[in-house]
Amino acid sequence: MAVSARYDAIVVGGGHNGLTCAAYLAKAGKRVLVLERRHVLGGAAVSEEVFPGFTYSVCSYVVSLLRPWIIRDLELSRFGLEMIPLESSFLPLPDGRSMCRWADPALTRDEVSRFSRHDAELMPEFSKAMSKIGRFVRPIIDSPVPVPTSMNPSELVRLLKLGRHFQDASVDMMELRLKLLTMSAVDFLDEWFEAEELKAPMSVSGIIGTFLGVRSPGTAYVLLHHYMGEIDGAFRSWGFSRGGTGGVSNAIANAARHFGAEIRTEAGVREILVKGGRATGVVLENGDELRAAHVVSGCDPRRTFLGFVGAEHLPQEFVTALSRYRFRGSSGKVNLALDGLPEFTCRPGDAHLRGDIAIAPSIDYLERAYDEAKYGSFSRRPYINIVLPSLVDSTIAPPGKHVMSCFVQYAPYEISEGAEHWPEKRDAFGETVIDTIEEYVPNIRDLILHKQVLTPWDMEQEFGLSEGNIFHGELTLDQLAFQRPMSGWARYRTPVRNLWLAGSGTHPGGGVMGSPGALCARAMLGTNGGSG
Amino acid sequence: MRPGDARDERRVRVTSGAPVLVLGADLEGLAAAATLAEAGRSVHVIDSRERPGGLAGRVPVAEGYSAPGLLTECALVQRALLADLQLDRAGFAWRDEPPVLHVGRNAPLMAIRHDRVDGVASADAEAYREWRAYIRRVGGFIAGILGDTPPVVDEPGLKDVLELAMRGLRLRSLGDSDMMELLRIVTLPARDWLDEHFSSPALKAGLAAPVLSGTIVGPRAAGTTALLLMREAARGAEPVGGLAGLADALLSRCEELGVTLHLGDRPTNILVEPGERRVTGVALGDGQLQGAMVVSAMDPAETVLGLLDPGLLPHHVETEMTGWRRRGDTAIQLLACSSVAGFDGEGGEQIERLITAGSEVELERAADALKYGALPDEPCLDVRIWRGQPHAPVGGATLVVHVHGVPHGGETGWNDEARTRLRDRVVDVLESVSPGVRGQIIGESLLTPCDLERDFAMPGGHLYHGELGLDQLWLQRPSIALSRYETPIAGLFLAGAGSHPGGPYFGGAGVLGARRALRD
Repeated sequence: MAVSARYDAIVVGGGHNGLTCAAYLAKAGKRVLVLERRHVLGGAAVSEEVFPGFTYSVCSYVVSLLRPWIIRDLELSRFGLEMIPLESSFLPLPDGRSMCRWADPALTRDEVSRFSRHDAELMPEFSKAMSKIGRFVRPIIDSPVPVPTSMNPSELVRLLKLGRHFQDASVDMMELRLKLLTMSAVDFLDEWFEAEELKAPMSVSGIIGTFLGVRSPGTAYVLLHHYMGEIDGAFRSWGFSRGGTGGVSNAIANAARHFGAEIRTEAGVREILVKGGRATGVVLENGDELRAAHVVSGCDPRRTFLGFVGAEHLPQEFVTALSRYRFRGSSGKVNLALDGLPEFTCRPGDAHLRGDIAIAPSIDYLERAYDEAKYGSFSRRPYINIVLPSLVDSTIAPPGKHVMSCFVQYAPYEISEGAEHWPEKRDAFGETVIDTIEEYVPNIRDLILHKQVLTPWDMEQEFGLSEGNIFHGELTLDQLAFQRPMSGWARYRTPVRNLWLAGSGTHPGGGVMGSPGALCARAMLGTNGGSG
Repeated sequence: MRPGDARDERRVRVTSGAPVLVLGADLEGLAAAATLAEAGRSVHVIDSRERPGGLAGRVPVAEGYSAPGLLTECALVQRALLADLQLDRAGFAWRDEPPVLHVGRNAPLMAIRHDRVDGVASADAEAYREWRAYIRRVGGFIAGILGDTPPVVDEPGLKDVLELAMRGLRLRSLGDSDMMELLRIVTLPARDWLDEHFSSPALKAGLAAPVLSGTIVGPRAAGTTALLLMREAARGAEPVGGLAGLADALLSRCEELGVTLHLGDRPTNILVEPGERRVTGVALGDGQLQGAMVVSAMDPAETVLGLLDPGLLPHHVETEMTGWRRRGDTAIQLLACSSVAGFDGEGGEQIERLITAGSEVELERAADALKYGALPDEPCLDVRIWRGQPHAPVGGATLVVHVHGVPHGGETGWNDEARTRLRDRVVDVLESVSPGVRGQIIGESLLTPCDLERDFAMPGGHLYHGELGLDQLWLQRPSIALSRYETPIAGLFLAGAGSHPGGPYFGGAGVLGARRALRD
């Protein structure tokens, strides 16, 4: 059992947040080691050549809110980051019609007016209102949360500023915000639009990665996701990373290495060492012990505390609160290598396929998909969000061939037979997805060269995502902000001294943002301001 | 009580100022009227129905059988707010709420009492005691929210900020642990909160079922814990004689205070002097009544969109109310039973309230059916059993059965076949609880949301004038602009179930709305 020299920090998990934390620490001159169990970096933000010649963004497939300040601080463009904006959002319909919304508002207006002139005229106003709120909300994801119970003067000042920040708006904005917090995505959209063909795909963005339906109360606020980008307008803030989503993680890893961080793959951690209530290092799966002054976990809270630390080192209250932190994976992924371009019968060609494609023909369809999953089955006719990044990124597939990435809801982790039976159902799940796509692309089966199917069970086993939840824990109001992962522990510290949490299970939560990792690093360095 | 009686028997009272017109003689309207009259105003109550009381009025079901109101949830009356009305002068009294007896599929009979539950495993029994203890600790704070005007959130003045600060302090005074727990759970679905405490599926269903009435969701929806918390904090005493007993007492008090009732008169328009935007009276089917103030306990959207001429209100206030959701979700089956011996519990305890859901899955499935406009295959019933006089002859009872998850328009409309189908499903469930009861039904009546809409002049047929969803409660009941009972029309106030607290928290909106009107 080799015991090596001390590091300033060991980061457990080479996902994009762990890597971001490491990069910031290294940049500040700290001696950092990142340990990744898999053979490839990125966690769920990963690119892999699962089938020769084709690079899959295995899990996460679009990048939405990667923080510009992180891109700047870590010089990610220099280290290989390249974002390709999504150009469109396409909705094929079973009756042969289709609607496409474009980055260009004029084109969008034309398309939407074929379904509803009223809606087409209202869209700019809707975008404007949502962007306005998005701009208000955005600062929250770039700083640590204030703590409501603290009586610390600097905390109170921060709370007051936040309060005033929210007050600084017209009555309309206040009403809109309250509605966003309390309404369902459908009810909220019903107040603006009439066309189901518009509301269905829009509402579904409110439930990605959650175990909720488009009619579930409290899903409207997630609609804001699309409007929090730096650039006004919905599309420019979402994009593909060249080389797949792993391109983001690789750029961050390159930056980290440049700043002096050491990164090891195929170096899984078995245990985080705790002595006298303090983290002292880790034990690898091969038995090696490594010491560090601080340990950071980029893994989710359950894996971190129950998997690596052990309940015996944690206060009982914390363990109880942890047991209430909900994961509830609800999605699966199907990645396909295609021998040619998939043709949608309702609209042939590829101009409209260079963004995302939604299988979401109606609100009832989406709601029924959710209802099925509530009682322990995957949806027989699921919501599918499809992208064909090979149309805009030539590095991920041979010429003329394509990668088709399909995000599928709902696939509940807890199926009625029990989650451990998911492998037996994997094929059937994959077939359901292909069957559904076949209704819009009749020749899809002829094109498939390779198919990779990931169930929530697979995501847990392979990527360490508890219950297959892609966000390290549900993004419901009671698990956000000062309650993520639980109240009292929402500032990256943990009950174990010098053990820090840097993944999506901390504020501001999931998605490929980088904020959790960066804010954790700042907290460690004491540079967050206030009582960091 | 007929229109002439009040005038004949009224003692001479000094009433000041021009008349106040109250629209709606339901519990909220009567509570508002009594509050206004107590303060010395001259009050007229207008209702299109021939009988007062709204859903709380006594309903005959068969010869010798009647229901003291159509609602099953009678223990959430806002007692503190009604205290000033001296209802005990009319012989009114309170009693402890009856325990909710619970039978579910394959579940043993259990009794959910105020601070104790019988018929569950000891772990759940202990958990229930602790759970109720937590609710008692935070109950004062919650009762404060229920019994108070919602705060100002848009452009608060100094007084409003102070008010908010006071509430904040009251929240803080719960202590870190209880306060943080409250903040944590308030947005949770009821199922998740209940799963954290209890194991018995039947117990969880028994606790969750009552709060779904008035919503279109099941226990897995966000916001249902808030409803559950409110109910648990508020429940305790119910009026002797059910809600009809309360209605009678309010009517009696109104009569004493010289309130004039105009029954069988439908308001068609609220008259407004356009220049000042001030009410001058109400137009009725035949004629009109003058008034300096109008306090409406009618549906809020009906009030501001139906009874006001267009253009009187600011555009955004009008637009807000067009989104008011109020489609009924509950059907009411009334049954006159010559014998209810089968509804006696252990040791001869007479069951007064019964819930038949065996698990939260059944509740969730019923709500699913509602989404697609279908009747639930296995309805979950919330039953009040009103035994003996004055509801039924000795040995018999009048049953009021609520079925949640019934779409407003039925599946394909409410024809005879659909009505029979629903009725039969209800009776099947009751038969499984008490075999033989089917043969003891000697009178019945089914009220679908459509029937309620027509018979009680409630658009949508919603029991509480509007969905009890997160976005239609408190600060947003019925909308941010209208949540504090006042409206942009001088002298026009909202004080019905579609205002805060609304729902089954009877008397709250009526009293708070009336008090707001009195401050003018």
